[in-house]
Amino acid sequence: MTPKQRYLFDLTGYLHLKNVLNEEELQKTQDAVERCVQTPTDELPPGISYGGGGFSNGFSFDKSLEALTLHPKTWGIVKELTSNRPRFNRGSLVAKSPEHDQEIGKLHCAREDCGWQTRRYTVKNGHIHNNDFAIFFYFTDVFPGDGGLVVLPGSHKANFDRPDDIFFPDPENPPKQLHPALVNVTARAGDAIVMSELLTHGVLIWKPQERFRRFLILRYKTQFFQDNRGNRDPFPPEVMERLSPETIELASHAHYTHTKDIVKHEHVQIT
Amino acid sequence: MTPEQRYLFDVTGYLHIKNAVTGDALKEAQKAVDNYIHMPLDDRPDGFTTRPKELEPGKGGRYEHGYAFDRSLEAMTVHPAIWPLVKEFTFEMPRFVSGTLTLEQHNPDRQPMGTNPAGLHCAREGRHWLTRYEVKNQQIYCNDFVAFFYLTDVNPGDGGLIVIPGSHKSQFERPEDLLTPGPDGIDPEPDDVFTNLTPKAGDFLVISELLTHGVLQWKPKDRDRRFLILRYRPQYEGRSGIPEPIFERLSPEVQELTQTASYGHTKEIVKQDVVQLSA
Repeated sequence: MTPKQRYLFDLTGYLHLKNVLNEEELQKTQDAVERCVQTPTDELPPGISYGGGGFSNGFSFDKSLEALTLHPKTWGIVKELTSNRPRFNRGSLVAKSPEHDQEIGKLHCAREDCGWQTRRYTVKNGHIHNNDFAIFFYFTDVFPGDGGLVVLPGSHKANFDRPDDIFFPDPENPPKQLHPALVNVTARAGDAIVMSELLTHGVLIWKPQERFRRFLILRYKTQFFQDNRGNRDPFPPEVMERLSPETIELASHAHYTHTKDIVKHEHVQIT
Repeated sequence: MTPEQRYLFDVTGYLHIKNAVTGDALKEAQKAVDNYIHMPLDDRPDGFTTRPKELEPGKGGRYEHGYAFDRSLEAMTVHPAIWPLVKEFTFEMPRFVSGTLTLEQHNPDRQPMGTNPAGLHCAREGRHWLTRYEVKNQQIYCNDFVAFFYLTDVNPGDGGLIVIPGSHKSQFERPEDLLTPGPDGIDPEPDDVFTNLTPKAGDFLVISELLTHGVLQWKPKDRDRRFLILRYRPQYEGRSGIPEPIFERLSPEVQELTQTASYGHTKEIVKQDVVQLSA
């Protein structure tokens, strides 16, 4: 994690990493996503299911997508934020058509949804620790005015409850101009967004009628954190079976004293 | 302070309070400012200094103690729109430190600032980490903050104040290359990390001095930017530096507000929800 990334993540609660995927990676992942979208739902690989514009466990559709869990440009961030105790615990592929997201996806954050005491953001010894965050890899472009992800920078450190209706008093009729404290994050294909789950975020109405919104949501926690699904494999056995050993290790629970082999490497190549 | 204001200030480090002063009160304040800045040098009352020194009437610069020139301006120090914030941030122990009138005009001679476009700065960088921002008992404590009262409009694209939301809680030093200088070397290239605040006449902006802020080049050639910079600290920090001739002009309420006092003392003025200047 560079000093600039650290400074920006600390201030805003998210990072917009541009051009993370090179041309070849982008092409391969876009092709894989297209294949996934074109596959009849009853022919999807075991453990992947479709609903509402999303493929659960979609990261496991193709090795090019699975490899993003350990991408060299985000791996250092994953390691720092978890203090070298990472666990990958969900990977959904979002492939939304213009008819999706025609209502505002309400603002929320893990502090509000999961209990303030369960999620942490802190800085110690010059490093950031955050026990719940997501990385979005984008396969299509989002332009200003399109809609999509909206965040409230700085809210990952909020000391007060968010007052009801402060930003979208009438979600059915959202204001034409976004509240100045909010930011609509407009990632291009090949970019990645790293976001603390403590950051208040939502989804603006998707405006383009001819363009799709496709991205992978990879979720990370500390290896010793138990979410509401308890201490079990994060993915069904049929998904676990086709993952690479490195991804399996990354997805495994472990004691806080344990150091996973993968974190000893600056670059991890899935086998 | 409303829950919405408290939440937004906590998250961003600033508040934009719109339409705080309107109608005759605004016109009166604007007229007073106009009178002050166009007053011949020799006619300026005692104590009213400028930066640069002996600034020609009507020229861009800092008109020190401008708030004390007229009661309509002095009243802004305790205006109902900011008074609850002043009391909350200081935990009811406020001291008004200074009130400068700034007049900014288009300045083609403004010098580039090297690797720091817009001249970004904050109290953390210049004052040895003395400045505090904390939340206790569901209240915000802030021991160095500023209320800007705007007398003219700022429109998008004009330039003026930029802030880096959230930086009042920054736990890391600002990287030198945070912003990229634009072609003129003064304004940075556009970047999501900063927000250009565009208040209208009659609005207040309140910022923590811990918030990283700077100023974009003022672009309009036919309009200037006029605002009061009102500074506050707790009553038990620092010493009053208000010159005697200025102090003597002030109403008893603002005189009390400017005074230092022990942290055990409660000023009479903080017992009031709305402060009316008496003389």
